[in-house]
Amino acid sequence: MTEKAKIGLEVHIQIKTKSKLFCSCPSGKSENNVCPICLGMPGALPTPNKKAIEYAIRLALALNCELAEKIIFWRKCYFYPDLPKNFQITQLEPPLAKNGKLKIGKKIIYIRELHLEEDPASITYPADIHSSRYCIVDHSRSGTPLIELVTEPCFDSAKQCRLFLTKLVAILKCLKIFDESCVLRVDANVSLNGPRVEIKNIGSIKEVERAINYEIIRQKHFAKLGKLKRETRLWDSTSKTTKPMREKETEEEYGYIVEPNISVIEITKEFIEKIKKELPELPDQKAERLIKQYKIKPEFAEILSLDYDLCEIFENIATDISPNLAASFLCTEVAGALNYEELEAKAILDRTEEIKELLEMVEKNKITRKAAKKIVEKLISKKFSVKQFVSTQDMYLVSDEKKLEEICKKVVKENKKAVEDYKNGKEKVLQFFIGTVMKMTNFSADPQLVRKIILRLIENSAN
Amino acid sequence: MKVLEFLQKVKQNEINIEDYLSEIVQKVRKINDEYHYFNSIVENPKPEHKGKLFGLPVSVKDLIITKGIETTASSDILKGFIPKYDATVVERLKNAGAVIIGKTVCDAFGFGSFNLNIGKSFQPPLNPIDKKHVTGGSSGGAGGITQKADFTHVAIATSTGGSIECPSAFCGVYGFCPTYGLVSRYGLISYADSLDKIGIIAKYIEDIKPVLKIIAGHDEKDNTSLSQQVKTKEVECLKVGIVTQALEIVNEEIRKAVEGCIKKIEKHAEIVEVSLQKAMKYGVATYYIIATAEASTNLARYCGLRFGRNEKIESKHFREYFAEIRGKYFSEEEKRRILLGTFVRMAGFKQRYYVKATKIRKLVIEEYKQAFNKADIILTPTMAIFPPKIDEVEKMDIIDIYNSDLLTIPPNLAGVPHITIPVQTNKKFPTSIMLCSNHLTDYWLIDIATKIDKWIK
Repeated sequence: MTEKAKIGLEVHIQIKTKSKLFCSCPSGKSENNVCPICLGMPGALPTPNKKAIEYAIRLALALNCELAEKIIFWRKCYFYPDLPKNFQITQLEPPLAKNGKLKIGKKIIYIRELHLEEDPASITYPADIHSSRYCIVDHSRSGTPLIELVTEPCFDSAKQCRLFLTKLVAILKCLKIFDESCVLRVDANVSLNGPRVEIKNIGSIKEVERAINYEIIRQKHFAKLGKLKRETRLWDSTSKTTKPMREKETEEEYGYIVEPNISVIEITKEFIEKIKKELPELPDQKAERLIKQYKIKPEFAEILSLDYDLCEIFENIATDISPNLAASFLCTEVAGALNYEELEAKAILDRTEEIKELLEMVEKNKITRKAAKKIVEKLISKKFSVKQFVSTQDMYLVSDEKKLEEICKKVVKENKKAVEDYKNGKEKVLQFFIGTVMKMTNFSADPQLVRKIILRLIENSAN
Repeated sequence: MKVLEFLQKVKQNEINIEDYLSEIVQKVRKINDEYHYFNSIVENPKPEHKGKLFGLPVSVKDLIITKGIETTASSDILKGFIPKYDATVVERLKNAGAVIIGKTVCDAFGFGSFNLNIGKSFQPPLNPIDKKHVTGGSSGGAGGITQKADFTHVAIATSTGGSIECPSAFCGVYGFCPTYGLVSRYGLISYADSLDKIGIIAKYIEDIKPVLKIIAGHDEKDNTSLSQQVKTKEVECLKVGIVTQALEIVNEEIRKAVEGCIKKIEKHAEIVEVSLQKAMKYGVATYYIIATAEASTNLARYCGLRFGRNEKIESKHFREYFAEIRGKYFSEEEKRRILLGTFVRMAGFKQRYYVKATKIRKLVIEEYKQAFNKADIILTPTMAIFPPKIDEVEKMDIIDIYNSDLLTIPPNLAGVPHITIPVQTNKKFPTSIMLCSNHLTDYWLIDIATKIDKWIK
């Protein structure tokens, strides 16, 4: 089976408003943030949050959507313990916005629609979902504003989905409507020209890629066995598998009616213009500007444009440091180290000065780039004075040929087999020698000089 | 004693509020033992604030949320629910110094015209004129106590399709239902949100305005609450619109009584014929579709989890538990309206019923606008029948019961203010005329109705 995968995403984005979508309780995680409205108590009525509407329009404009003229809320009716009223206030017709686009490299991702809705409560199970005798419903999340974004089924790989979501998050952060405290939940529809399978409840971008890759393999396997069916599956992040949730024969019946407690809200042209004017620079525009202003490589410009805080660091140091060095160091060494430690660039914003000092030393040939990399890996978890570190750790660049030659000789002597290999044409071995010397000198050796010495030593060694 | 006179006496210390209120509680208990107008009576009622209504005893229909006082909607499923907050109207009344004396019985969630659709934990209210007969519904307790009370008192009631008008007519008192959105619904347990209104039942027509002035007005907690001001109207010669069709369908005695009123009014005003053909023909169907559609979603929250009845849930799937609780504690009528309302909004039927009904409601509103081009107010009988006996209702067909709202549904669908005035007949029971006027002319309507009330006496 070699059919291409066809994937569509439904993304639920918690947005960062002060209060919930229909009441004045504080939004986000905090104690006691419930009231009769978000608990669905009898007699309590919803009042729409204007800020949430403004935020959703910001996103719609950033994604080049067509905006509706009116905001109408609906009741989506189904029974579930996490839904205080046993209906969810959401939007149906018209959605807040439709027909948007977002470019991922050369591919255009089409956005079918986006709309506002309230988040249900969260449910936790004392054990596995199927074996638990009870569950705990936590209403602090109940009523948090969500934007639901639905794409056309236009992705053909899990990686593409990841790139789209990364860019989407970058845009959300740019628009200042989302931060680390907000949660992104994704449902993915995956099919290989066969029945469509919906995977629910994927909690992060990395997991989306994993879940879809898993599902593609599972579907190929089940298709071979002739057992593939239309169903809804649940992503289990512990076992890293999708598990059956329910079989889906027909569309669900939600018995939508207009929410009678909320008046129709007109979206005026003036309001849209005002939001348009206040829109910040978006990733694509930013990448273009970075290339023009700093003459850096497009691939670095793209990475920086997608990471708001990393770019902050870049723009703060690029006036003092060669922009190309700064960009390449941030996008490779720093980004790599952050990724390894599972940290966001926001966590190291206060270390901008240290990074600048490091790169100045690299630029002036006082330390090697390798040394800078090693120091930055430490700097990410803890702030310290880099100058002091360099001197106490003896990391200043060593270009004393005699001193280096001694170390090189030792290395060559101890690795006779490697010397043979090099002579027999395995040129990669050279890197091994240089690397060993670098490690032995705590990355202070001038790598160019080491290379020269090693080559000479190998040349001169007896056959 | 009328409200304004009472308030004056309290102000001048001619009435000792503490004594007066404890005396009232005694009386209310006694009436309640015999007639069942209250689901709960407040132990030691006293004013919490100084204000324009200082000391005024008020009963509140049990469909309105009262902080610390059990609020049940007269449904078994909410039995035991003690809210932690006040409805906006209750808050406003308390802030003005009014005193809540108790919660009046009603049809469960307002579902009914005779106040017999109540949970097993409640007793049906009996007509104050003859106990074998119904009070009318859904605000039966409010209508009954207003008639029976020999003390100053005003009842806060609600109407969705006639729940203020019907018991007012059957109990021989005044009922007022405001423009939709004039009085905040925050804290009114939803039956059908797009139709629900809070209004007033009173023994004297003069008692309505002082209370309305306190409870009316914009509330930011109710998104459909109006921010526009109530209009006054200058009329040289009052034009009273009559709907001939409405007079043709009512009981003979009622028709005679209403025609008698029209004759008396004719001496002071011009009588014109207006047409409410669509409202009369499609009103009942339109109303029951919209109202049950909304009600079936509003009642979904009653599932034994967060408030009201709950039972041991462990080891049960939630669907099983919800079905058990809802099956056990909802009455037949609650179940009927949930099923009907769910059906009319299901895919495949929604266009034919729910969507069509919302379109017809717009036409009905348009029809009223047309009628108000011809007449300043529209006069019809309130109810087509006299209050039936309780055992007669039990034999009635459900469609006939729904059709008994035929005359009260149109102004409720259109959201226009309306007021009912009791009219004496040759029979044991009085009947009632209903006057309605254009949106947001509420105070003007009350003033005109006060005049008309004098003309027809």
